[in-house]
Amino acid sequence: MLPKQSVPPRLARQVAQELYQHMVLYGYDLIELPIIEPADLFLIKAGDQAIGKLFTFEQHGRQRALRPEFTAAAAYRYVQLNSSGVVRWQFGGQIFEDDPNDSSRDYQRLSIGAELIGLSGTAADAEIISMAARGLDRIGIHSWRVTIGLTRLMRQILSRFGLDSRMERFVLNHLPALADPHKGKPFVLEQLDRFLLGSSVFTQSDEINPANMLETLLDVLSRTQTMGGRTHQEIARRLAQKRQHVVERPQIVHALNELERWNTINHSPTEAFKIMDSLIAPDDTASRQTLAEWKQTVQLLQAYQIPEENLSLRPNLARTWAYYTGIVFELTADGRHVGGGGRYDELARLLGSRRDVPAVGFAYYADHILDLLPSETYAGPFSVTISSTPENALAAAVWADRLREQHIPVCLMPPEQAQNGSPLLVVDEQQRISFGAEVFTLSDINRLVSLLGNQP
Amino acid sequence: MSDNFLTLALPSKGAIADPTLNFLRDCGLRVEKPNQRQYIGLMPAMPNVAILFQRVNDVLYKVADGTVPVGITGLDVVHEHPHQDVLVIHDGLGYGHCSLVVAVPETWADVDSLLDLADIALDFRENHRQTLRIATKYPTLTRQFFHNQGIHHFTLVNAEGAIEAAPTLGYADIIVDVTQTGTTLRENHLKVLPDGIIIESQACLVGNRRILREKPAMLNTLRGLLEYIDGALIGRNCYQLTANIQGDDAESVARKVAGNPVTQGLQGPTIAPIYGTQPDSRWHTVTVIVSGKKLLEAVEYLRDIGGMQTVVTPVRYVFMEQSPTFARLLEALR
Repeated sequence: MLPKQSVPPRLARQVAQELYQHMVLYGYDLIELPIIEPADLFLIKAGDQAIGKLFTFEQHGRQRALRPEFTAAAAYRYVQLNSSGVVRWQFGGQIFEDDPNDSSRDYQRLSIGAELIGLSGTAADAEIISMAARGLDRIGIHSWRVTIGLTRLMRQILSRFGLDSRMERFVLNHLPALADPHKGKPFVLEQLDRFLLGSSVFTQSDEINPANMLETLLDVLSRTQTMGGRTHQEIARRLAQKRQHVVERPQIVHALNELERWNTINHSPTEAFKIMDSLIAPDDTASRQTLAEWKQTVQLLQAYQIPEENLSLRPNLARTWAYYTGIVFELTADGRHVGGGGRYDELARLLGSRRDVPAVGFAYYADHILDLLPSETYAGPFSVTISSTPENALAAAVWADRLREQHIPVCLMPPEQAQNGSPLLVVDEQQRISFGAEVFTLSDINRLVSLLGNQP
Repeated sequence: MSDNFLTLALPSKGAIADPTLNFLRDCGLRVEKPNQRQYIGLMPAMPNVAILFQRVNDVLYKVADGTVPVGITGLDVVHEHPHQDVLVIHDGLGYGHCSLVVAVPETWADVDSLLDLADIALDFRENHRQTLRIATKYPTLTRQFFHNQGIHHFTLVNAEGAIEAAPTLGYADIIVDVTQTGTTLRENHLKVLPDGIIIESQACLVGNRRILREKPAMLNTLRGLLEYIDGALIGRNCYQLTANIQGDDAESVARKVAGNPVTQGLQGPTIAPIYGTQPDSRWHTVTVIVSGKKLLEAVEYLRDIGGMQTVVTPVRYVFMEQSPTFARLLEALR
């Protein structure tokens, strides 16, 4: 499996190097992460689409995966190191996706990004977003835009409806479908009814009939064994919750209606903040506080020279509801997604930490970035060519070695294959070398090096 | 061995072993096993066909690696072990029906759908600090199905034998297994989720795409085999009806009979005059092939138009202008 070759590897390497240097300016240190990890590590975090593209295999009865991204692995490293302080890590390398719809069979791609782990707050969020955006400037992509969402705000709006965590999860997971013109509210309501009423215990006709539920509960409790790793209490509790959900259906629909209004927001910060101010209830202090923090993040971004016209706010921008806990953002340029990230304060706990660890990060979609850059953006390495034949091979080797000692890159080539555009040196039998009209001996090497150093 | 020699792999044991021999016998392709201890057999109706008996999974493996060019196995096995060289030549031989299903303990009264199960899987992760354990012999199909349904937190427990006992024995929480009637699952206090049917399976004929492309003489022998199979499969759904009907002439009788699509036959009814003892009796015999599902409807229609003494006989074979399965196979090999 070879990576796509339409982009010169040199360009990829140089872009990676530029981005590395850029992130060093913010104090991000390079880390290496394993290519093969336990599959569970990625399944915890990945959305449905990403899971379908995971390369997995079994080893000694355990499921492993080729890394499809770096974030989960970085968080896992942090947990394994039992760290408690702030780390700024950057990463770069190949990630692997098995996309059945991709006929190019291009299974691997370059990913570059960073994680800021152990630091919460708007300053950390703004640092990551601005570093990601300004990195694009550094490599010559100036047409970028940032769209920012805020999962926490959406959760807070939802929490006003008093739904339990299961129903909140249902509503949040269906926000993309709610915004999808091909699905919309009818689809989500159909799913809701499947979830609530697709049960033999509760049907449309007797959905709130307590007698029916009591009978089922008694049946459950009358069995000595429950089987399948669940207790009587768990089953009974969930049964009661299901009944409660049926009762709460109007409230769930009410919540969907409210979030549908939020789904339409995708505006510049000034405009978006005005709309959100009007949508948040006056007594909803938690949401107002979150909105104030969001405004602060946008102000910080402007201090980092991220202009308002390059920013859009879209509260429902969902990357994976189960995983992101705060801001989420996407970078686009010329209509292509070139990066994205967000805050994931609960991931460390899911990966074994005993506490939540604040963390925010992003990754560039490097293959999209490389597609946007003209291949001549970065020139090839400078080198001189020494014309080498069997007769002068010894003398050519001596000159090549001495020049390399002086940090001059040298290629030895047969005369007929000497490349155009590279300074050509010709060695004669007396170990003299000619460059243009001038001839040098080994004792003149410094003059030759100086002359080559002035080459364009 | 001549170029037109074809080896057909058949299941040696398991649920579809005997039904396969019965099916072939009903197609006119009786299999003889000269020695019960050996794994080879003969097909007297087609001397160019040899039989190799293998376990049902091994039939697929042998076809996939090209050891044999064709074989009969279960669709569930084919889907569980996808292989680029394996081509499903006939996906509905009409026996060995079963379903690969998700079954949960009956005591899980709160679980009636995959949406519930998705919720439970998250509960396991959050409250039990472990993942939902699924016992199955079908890891590929199970993994694919659960991920497609948005259930991502689970562990597959590979198991052989009586999987339905796994939740009782405690080494799995739920199971994914094949079932025909559901009786064994019910006896083990398991219930099938209505939306948890992963695939509907039955016996199927598979072939090795590469070998069939490379060996036209062998492909021609397979054509003969498919003629028998298609002829019998189409024939088993048909009946031949013969009835006596009065009419002025054969044409007017034919018009009446063909007036209903059910009695139009494959090409149209056959009408022949009856030369009875009474002069000018105007009786005709009508012969028509009808679908088994419409038999009674056809009989009643013939009665309505004056039909009497309707005789029904089963049809052994219906050979169409060419074997439809072979035509599809040629298309797939192109």
